[in-house]
Amino acid sequence: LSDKEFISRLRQGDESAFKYLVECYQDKIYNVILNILHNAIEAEDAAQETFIKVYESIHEFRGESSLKTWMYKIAIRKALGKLRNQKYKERLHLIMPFWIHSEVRGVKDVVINPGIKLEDKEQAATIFKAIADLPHNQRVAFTLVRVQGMKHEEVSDIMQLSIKAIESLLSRAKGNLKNKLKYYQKLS
Amino acid sequence: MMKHTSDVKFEKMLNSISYIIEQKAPEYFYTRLKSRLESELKSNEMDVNDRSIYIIYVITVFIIMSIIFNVNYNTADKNYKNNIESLASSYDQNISN
Repeated sequence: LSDKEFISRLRQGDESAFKYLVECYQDKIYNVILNILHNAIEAEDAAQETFIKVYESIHEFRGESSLKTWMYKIAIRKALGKLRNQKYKERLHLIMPFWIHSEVRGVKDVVINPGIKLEDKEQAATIFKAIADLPHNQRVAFTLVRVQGMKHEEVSDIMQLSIKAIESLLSRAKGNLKNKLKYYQKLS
Repeated sequence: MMKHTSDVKFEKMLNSISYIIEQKAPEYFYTRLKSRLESELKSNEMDVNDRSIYIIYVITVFIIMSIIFNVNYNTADKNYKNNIESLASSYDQNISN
């Protein structure tokens, strides 16, 4: 089955084609989101929202990029939406600490990806904590390149930014991380 | 030299997150997704139905209101004319003049 045929079957609402798409990409989409959000429940929710969006708007896919890149774009948008939501809840919790549910207090707590090697867990926890404090764009670019191992070109397609802009985001992210890690080390 | 050492240390730290084993999506991911998708599609359908019912409701109310207004206006106009005519006749005047 060619890509065109597959996409046309998706556009017709073919359930078996959609199931195949989900089974092919669910791990990749889930991992990208998990590495950005550091929260398994939120990551599953955002991954589901991603596939729902794909199902609903497949007719808008014009084939300018690959289907995979288009899905990653949606996934990143959903992850960023969750991050914004978390920030909004944190602010609300600061204003009305008794009105907002106590669950919100744990938003910044970093959940370590179970895929990290045991000997690296402690270090990884510190780095993920620092990554969680980065501005959203830097956080996404850094995660896609350093954690997911994507190429700069691929990240530039997903984030719809030039390669130079991605490199600049990465270098700023690195600088910020360095400062934050120094700060954490001083604290400990 | 110090800077170089700290850079190497920093890079080493970053490497700890560079080789993460890919996680599998939670079990029954597709089953949960399918039921969520079906319920969302259902609620979207309901939304469309609700919207059309709402539009029909507004149009019906508008038509009824305009009929009531039209009937009332005509009756009021007739009553007004009748009153004037009766007043005129009581004073033995012709309003057509």
